[in-house]
Amino acid sequence: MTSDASSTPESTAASTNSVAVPAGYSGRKWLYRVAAFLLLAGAVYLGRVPLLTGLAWPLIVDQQPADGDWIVPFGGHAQYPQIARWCQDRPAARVLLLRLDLTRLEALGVEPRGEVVAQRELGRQGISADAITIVRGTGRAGCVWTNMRRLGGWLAEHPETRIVLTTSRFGSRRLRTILDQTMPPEVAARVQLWAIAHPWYDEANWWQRKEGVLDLFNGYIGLGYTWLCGDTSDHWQEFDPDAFDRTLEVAR
Amino acid sequence: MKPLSRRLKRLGWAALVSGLLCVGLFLARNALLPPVARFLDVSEPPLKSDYALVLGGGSDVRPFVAAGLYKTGWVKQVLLPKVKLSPEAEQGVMASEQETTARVLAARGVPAEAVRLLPGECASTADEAASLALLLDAEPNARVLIVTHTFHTRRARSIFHRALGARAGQVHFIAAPTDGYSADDWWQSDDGFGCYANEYMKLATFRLR
Repeated sequence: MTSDASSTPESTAASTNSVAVPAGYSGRKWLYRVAAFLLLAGAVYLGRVPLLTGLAWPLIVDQQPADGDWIVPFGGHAQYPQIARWCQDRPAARVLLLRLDLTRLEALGVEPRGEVVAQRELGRQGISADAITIVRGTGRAGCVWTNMRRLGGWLAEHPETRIVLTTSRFGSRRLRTILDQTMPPEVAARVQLWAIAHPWYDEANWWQRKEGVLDLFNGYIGLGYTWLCGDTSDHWQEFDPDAFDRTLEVAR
Repeated sequence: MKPLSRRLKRLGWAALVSGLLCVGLFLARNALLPPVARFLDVSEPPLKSDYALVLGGGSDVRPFVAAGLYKTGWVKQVLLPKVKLSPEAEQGVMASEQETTARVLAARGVPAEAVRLLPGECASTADEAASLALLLDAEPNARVLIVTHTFHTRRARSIFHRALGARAGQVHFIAAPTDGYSADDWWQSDDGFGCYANEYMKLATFRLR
């Protein structure tokens, strides 16, 4: 049987002696670690406003001051007064409204059609009906991909036109991504985004409201999904209220 | 063997195992992901009850389900919470959610006398549970079917049970389907993925409180 010199009792003792830790060293090491952690936590706390504001920035694409001939209301709370101000600064400006299929509530007559609401609100803000053009198409009204494809089609028919598209602030990066994927580059380049802040919060204070936190979270989830999976809009099955009523009838 | 190369070798193995695990999870996603969604669904079949309470936040589906429950005789009345106004409703651009829900109920054949408002303004499911608790104080024997989306039933049940205490047995949860996706394919659409991710985040926050 062979024996390894490094594992003899003498060598083990020597090795142990060579790495012997002075008394109090371990305690000091922990003290330094705790102090470093506290310093870091304090710095994060003191710098929380720029840090949290910075957390929202990757979601935002705001190409202001946006310059174009047309403006398309496509999202962002309280967008109509801001669109009206934009139009008042540019006398030749026109508003483009996208009109796809009716939603369930619109079809039932419970809600006015989207373009009717937009026309009414813009009219209230002093925009004349002559300055508004409606572009019709087919497809699910709530689907961003379908809307952007329709808008891309219209832009291809109007090669000299530059447009400004309003959007929610934390959804703007995702919209830019979809826009760039649905339109040829030369068409997409003619679209500028105007990321309108929510009336209750923006990137400088989103963490102070539950709605802001959820909006930021959903913004990242939506953006990540769009980057990873692209267009999944064809995967859609509509809820059928009449069929649901029949299942309730059968269950009785 | 030198420590660095040993570490690199370990790292290589860890990367290989992680990669294989990811590939395995990806290949098994159709079997693994539906249970993730079904965990959130604690809905029950309908029971003959006094009221259907339509929770706020889904006026394009939930009121249709409540109307169906009324029309097929499962409930005698429909309860509506007064949902806090959205910025659009505050500015008069859109109708309030309560108004929209009431209009859907009317359009689907529920008479106005069968619709009742819950007291107090509600900004969350917890507020709705507190409002229902007040109603159950006045009507201690009432049974209520709570209509909400499938993915919301687990968190809603926890919130209502916390608010109602001993009266928790008087409420039952009815699942309203989702537009566009179901528990079997929720990860295949951005709406579905966002919705379930959001709900898990809210559930975790609720459990931590």
